[in-house]
Amino acid sequence: MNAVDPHDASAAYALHALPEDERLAFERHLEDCEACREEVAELQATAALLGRAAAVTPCGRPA
Amino acid sequence: MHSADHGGEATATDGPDLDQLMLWTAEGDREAFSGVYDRAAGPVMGLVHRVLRDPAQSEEVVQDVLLEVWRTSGRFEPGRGSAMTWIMTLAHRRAVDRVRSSQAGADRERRAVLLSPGLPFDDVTEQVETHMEWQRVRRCVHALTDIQRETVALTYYGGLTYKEVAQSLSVPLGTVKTRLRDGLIRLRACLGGTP
Repeated sequence: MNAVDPHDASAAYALHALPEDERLAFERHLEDCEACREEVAELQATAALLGRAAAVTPCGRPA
Repeated sequence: MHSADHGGEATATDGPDLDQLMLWTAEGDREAFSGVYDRAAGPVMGLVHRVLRDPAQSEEVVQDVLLEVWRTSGRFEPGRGSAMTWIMTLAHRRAVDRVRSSQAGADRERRAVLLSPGLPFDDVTEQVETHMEWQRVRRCVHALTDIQRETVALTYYGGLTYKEVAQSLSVPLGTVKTRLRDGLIRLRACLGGTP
C-alpha cells in the first residue's frame, strides 16, 4: 500500500485528508524531500484560501 | 512592547502586518498577540464552524486553536509561508482532529449529508460573495471540474480522509489523490498569490 509514489499524497496531506499512518509516513518523507516541502507549503497556502473563504464576519466587520 | 512603537492608530486592518505580529508574539508580546487575535479570530471561527457544524464544539476548538497560536507562535517561520496560512492550517488540523475523534458512529450520517447535492461549496459562496477577494476565490472554485470541486470540498470542508471519499464515491484511492492534487494545483494557478 505504501509502495505508491509519496508525491501523490502532497495535496491530501495539505488538506489533512491522510489517515494517521499515512500522514506520519508522508511527514517522514518530507524530511528528506525539499521539493515536496515546497509543494506542500504552496498547497497549504491554497487550502488556507479555501479556509478564509469560509470566514464569518463577527459584529458585521469584514473578516 | 513592539506594537507601541507603531503608534496608537493601528486597527485590525492597519499597522504592522500579521507576519510581524506573529514574530513579536513569539517573543511573548501580549499586545502583538491581541493584534493577531483581532485578525485571525474571524477566519478561524468561520473555518472551524464550517467543518464542525456544531456551535458548542466549534467554540471550544476555536479557543483551543487561538491558545495554541499563542503558545506555539515560535514555530511560525515566515520563509515557509504567511502567518495567515500557518494559522489557518493549524485551525483546519484541529477542526479535522475533532471531527474524527467525535465521529465514530456518526460517520455514515455525516457522509450522507455531505454527499447531498448542493453542498458544501454553495454555502461558502453565499457567505463570501460580498467581498471582492472572495469573488475571486469563488470564480476559481467554479473553474474546477465538478468532480475536483466535490472531492476537495469533501476533504477540506467535510473533514473526510481521501480513503473515506474513495469509499463514498466508489472510486479508486489513487484517483482521489490525483483529483485532490489536480484540483489544488488548478486552484493555486487561478488564485495566484498567498492569502
